[in-house]
Amino acid sequence: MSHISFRERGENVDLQVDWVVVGSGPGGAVAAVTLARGGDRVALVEAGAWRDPEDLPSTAYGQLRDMMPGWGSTITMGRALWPVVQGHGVGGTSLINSAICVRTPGDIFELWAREHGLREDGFAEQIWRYQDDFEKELSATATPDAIAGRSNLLAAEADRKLGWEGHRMVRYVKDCEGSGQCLQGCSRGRKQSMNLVYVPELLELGGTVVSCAPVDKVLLRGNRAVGVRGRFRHPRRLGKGAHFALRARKGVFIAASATGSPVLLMRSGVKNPALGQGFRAHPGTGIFGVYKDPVDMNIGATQGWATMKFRHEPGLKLETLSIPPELVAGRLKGGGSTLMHRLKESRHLSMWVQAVRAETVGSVKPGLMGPTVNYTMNDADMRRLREGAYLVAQWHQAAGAEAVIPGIHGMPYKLPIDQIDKIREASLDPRSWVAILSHLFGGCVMGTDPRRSVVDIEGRVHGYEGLYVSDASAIPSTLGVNPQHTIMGLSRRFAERALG
Amino acid sequence: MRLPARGKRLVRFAMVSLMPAVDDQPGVEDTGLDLFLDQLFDEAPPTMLAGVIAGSAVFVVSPVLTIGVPVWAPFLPKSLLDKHADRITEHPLYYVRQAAFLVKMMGGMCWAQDSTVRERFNLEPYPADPGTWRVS
Repeated sequence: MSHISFRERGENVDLQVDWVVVGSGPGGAVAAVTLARGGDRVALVEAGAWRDPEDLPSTAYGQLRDMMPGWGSTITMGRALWPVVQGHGVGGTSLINSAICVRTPGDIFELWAREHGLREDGFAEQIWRYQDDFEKELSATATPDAIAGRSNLLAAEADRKLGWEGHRMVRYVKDCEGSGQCLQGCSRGRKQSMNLVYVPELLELGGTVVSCAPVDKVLLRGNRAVGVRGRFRHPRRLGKGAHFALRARKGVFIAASATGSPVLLMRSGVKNPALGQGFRAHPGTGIFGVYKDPVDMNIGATQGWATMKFRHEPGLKLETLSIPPELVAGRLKGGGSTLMHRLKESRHLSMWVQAVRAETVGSVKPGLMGPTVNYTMNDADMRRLREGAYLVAQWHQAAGAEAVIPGIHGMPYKLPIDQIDKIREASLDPRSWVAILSHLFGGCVMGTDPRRSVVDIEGRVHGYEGLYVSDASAIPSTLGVNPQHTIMGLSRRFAERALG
Repeated sequence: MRLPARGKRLVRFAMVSLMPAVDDQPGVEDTGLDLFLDQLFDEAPPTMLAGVIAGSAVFVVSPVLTIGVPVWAPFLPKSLLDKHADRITEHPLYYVRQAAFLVKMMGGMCWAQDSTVRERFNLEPYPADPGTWRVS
C-alpha cells in the first residue's frame, strides 16, 4: 500500500498499474475501490491534498483555501456570476458536502430511457442494490433529534403543520455530534467522506493514492487510453513540482467532476461533439427566518430536514442549511454600521434553502484559469427559484418566524412575516439573486447516440477503448435529489462492468 | 514589495469601512485583520488577490456613484463613508455591488472566525489551523 504526495522537481514518478482513476470524490473513490476489490491494481490520482480530520482547518477561510478548487473561483459566466460549488482534495466534494443520502428516484431511470435511450433490464434495480451496500458501508443514518439543533427541529415542526411530508435527512455519518461543521470538513471524523472510507480501503487492498497531482492529460495511443500525466502542485505554495506518469494496462477512469472531466478530455484531444455540453445543475438560494428566541443554527446538524413535496411541481427541493457565521456576514445585505447592526441578531437567524431542478442547459469548456461554465438560468427556472424562495418563507412563517430576510436585490432587507407574498413579485433577473450552483450534472453525458452523448450505459467513452467517465458529468439530467448516491451507484456499475 | 503593501492598505481600508465596530460589537479591525491580510496576501492565488484588490479599488473610487460625492472614499467624513459603505452593496450596477460583495465576504471570514465574535454567536472558538496534510 502506498500514498505518494507532493514531490519536488526532479523527483519524477512513473508507475504502471491496471487502472488509473482520476479524481477521488464519490465517483472516483467508488470506481477505484470497486476495481481493487476485483483484484486489479489501481492508482487513484487526486489534484488536491489528503487531509485527515486532524488536518482540517475548521474555518470558512480554510475551506476556501484548502478544499475548493482555485479558492472557489469557479463561477458561472452568464448573466450573473454565481459560484459553482465543488470540493478539492482527497475525498472531493464529499469533504465539504453535508453527506446527504437519497436514492435515485425511479422516474429518473424512466426519463433516461425515454430521452437518452438508456434501457437495460434491471438497470434501476442494480443501482438500488449498490445503494443498499453504500448505506451500510457509509453508515447512512437519519438525523436524530438529539443532535439536530433548533433550526432543524423548527423546520420539522413547521413541515408537519404545513403537511409537506418532509423527512429527517439520511446522511453518511457515524455518531454525528451536531458540530455544524459539515461544510468546512468534519474535523471530528464523523462524516463518512471518501477520504475516510473508500480511499483507505483502496490502500489496504494494495492500491496507490497519488495526491497533490492535477492531471494535465490522458495519454492516448490511437483510440486507447493508456494512462495519464501531469505535474505535482504544492498544496500551499501552489508551485509546480515533479512530473508524474501513471500508465494503465487496462484503462483510465475519469472522475474529475462535472466541470473537470469534460475539460480534461478536451485537453487530451478526445473528439466528441457532445463533450462539455449538457451541463445542468440545481441552483439554489437561501432565505433567513428571523426568530424571537435564539436559534443558534450552527449548533446541530448542518442539514437535517428536507421535503420532496415540490420535486415534480414546480421542481424544487427544500431543505435546512446552516451556513457558517463567516458566510452570514457576507450574505446579509448592507455595509458599514447598517450591516454590523444587522449582524447583531445572527443568533436569531435560521437559514433554509431551496434547490431548483432546473431545465436550463449550459456548457463547460477550458478557460485560462480552469473550467469555464457558461450558464444563465432561463425565465422558467427563475420563476421556480422565486417560487421556491416564497415557499421557504412560508416554511419560516409556519415555524413562527417574526420576519424573513430574502436577500434579493430590489427588495427590502427584511419582510415582516405577514408580507412574504411580496417575494412573488421579486425580479426574475439572475443578477438580483445571490445563488450558488451545487449538484452539478453533465458535460460528458451518458446516452446511446454518440452525436448527443459522450459515454454509453457502461460509462465507456464512445469511440475509445479503456476510457471511462464515472462521475456526475455522466449524468444526463438533473435528479431533483442530492446526487452523491446516484454518482456512486453509476460508478460502481461502470467499474464492475469494466472488470468483466 | 510596494505594490502588495499598497494593495493591503487598500483592502484594509475597504474592509474596515464595510465592517466597523458598533456599540460593544467588534469591527473587523478588532479581529486580527492585519494578521488575516498578511495570511491572505501570502496564500491566495494571484487571481483571487486581484479580485479582492480590484473590489477594494472600486470601493475607494465609487462614492460619486453611491452618494453623489465626487471624492474618493478615504477623504469622506465618517458619516458619508458609512453611507457609501451601505449603498455600494445595493448599487443598481451589478458589478459595482459584486465588487463590494467580494470584499465584504473576505472581511466576513476574518471577522466571524475571531473567538470574541464566535462567543457572541454562542460558539466555541475555532481550533488553530493545523496547516498540515498527509505527506506519506
